[in-house]
Amino acid sequence: MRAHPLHIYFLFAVLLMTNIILWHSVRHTKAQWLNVPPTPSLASAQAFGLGDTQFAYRVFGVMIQNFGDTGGRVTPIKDYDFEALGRWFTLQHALDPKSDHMPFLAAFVFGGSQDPQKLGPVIDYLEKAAGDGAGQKWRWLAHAINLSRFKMNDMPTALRLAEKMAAFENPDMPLWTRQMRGFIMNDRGDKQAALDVMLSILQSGHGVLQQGEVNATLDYICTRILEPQEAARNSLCTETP
Amino acid sequence: MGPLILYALKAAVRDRLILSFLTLLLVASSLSIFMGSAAVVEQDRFAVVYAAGSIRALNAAGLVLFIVFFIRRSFEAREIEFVLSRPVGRSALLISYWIAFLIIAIILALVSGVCVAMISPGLFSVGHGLWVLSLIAENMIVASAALFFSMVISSAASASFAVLGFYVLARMMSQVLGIIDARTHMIQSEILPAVMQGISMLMPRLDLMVQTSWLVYGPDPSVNVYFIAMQGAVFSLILLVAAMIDLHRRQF
Repeated sequence: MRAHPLHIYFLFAVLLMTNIILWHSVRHTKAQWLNVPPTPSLASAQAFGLGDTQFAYRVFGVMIQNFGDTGGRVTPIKDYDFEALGRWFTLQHALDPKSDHMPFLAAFVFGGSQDPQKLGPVIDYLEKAAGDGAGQKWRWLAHAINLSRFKMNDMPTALRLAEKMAAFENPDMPLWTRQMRGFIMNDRGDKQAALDVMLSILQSGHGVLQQGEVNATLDYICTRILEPQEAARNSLCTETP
Repeated sequence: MGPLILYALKAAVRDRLILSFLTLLLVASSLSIFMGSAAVVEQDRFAVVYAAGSIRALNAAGLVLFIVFFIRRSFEAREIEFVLSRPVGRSALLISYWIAFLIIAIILALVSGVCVAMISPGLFSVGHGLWVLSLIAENMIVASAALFFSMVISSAASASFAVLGFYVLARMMSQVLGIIDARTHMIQSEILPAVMQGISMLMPRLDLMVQTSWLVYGPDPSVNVYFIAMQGAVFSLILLVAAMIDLHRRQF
């Protein structure tokens, strides 16, 4: 049997040890998350999918969903750069305006931020995602109203969005979507305007609304908009069966 | 021609193309389902898009590697010279191989279509049929390109890179044309847009084919089925004739 030169084994062992020392020197160095990365242009995003826009949308979709939560790291949503996030939403909307994945993330994941004052880009995107309210898209505008009304306490924006939602020509939208602007007007103390909205809905819905919807609207008028003494004098509240 | 077609088809089986393709199809589908299930909503849509996108690339890679290495090996082992020493014309030899490669291309596309349909049966629609049809057309073009480049380039690695470069450029063609049409500030030269316009005339528009959005939302109204079918047929024939010209000029 041919004897192998010992110096080769020695060199191999030295190289192996050097490699282990090198590994040890960077053992605790981990990838840093430098917040939401810059958004590519639409053309670059399409090029990423080699011309397959839907593929690019889905790849970016899961990437955005997991921003900041990779490699054993968890990042509070309040620490995200929401302006940059808004640019990703806009890009995704351009790639696929039909999907509900990105609006879902915006409303339920990023909308749950511990810092509500950062939610402006999320609300702007949800308004865009709602489009003209066709099908079930109006729901994203309802989420935008909810975030601006209850999280940001931004009444003017909430009212503007509620008026936009009420104007959608979608016969499948439930009654409360038309009443939303009345709710917001009432919450900000504009009782007369809220009453006018509710009464106009009752009048225009005569013969169309379900009895339960009529009763709920009357109840809201009599118990939430009108003061008890006003309700006692109003025929709507006194003559209701 | 029959025995030559059969010979190329047997080579595909012998080179484990079908077996490797099926294995990678299984891996790609499994990974796609796994990755798709990570999405918070629309998991089935994510899975089918990931699977279809990766399977499309798998079709191209499988065809390119098999065809290029088969042709280059045939040259190096002097099989081509041996066949041509028999009463078989150069055109007949090339057409036989071309038909065999097209059969393989169609088989791979059909198997891919079944696989994609099985991943999300709930989303099955006309879009699936269109996706498979356009994958057949794309595979035909890729197979013909692989045949052409492996005939004209003597290195298997270089020929493979050339076909893959051709494939990527063809899929990016709408981007290139978009940049030319937009005349952005990046393009100062008048020559460059003209050159790219000329190149695009000689490239297939693969960017208009095999879109994963068809699997999710059905066929886009702008999809031109006749264009897809015609492009598949015409471009494959162009590449076949180009390869034929090269083979006839070749000295053995």
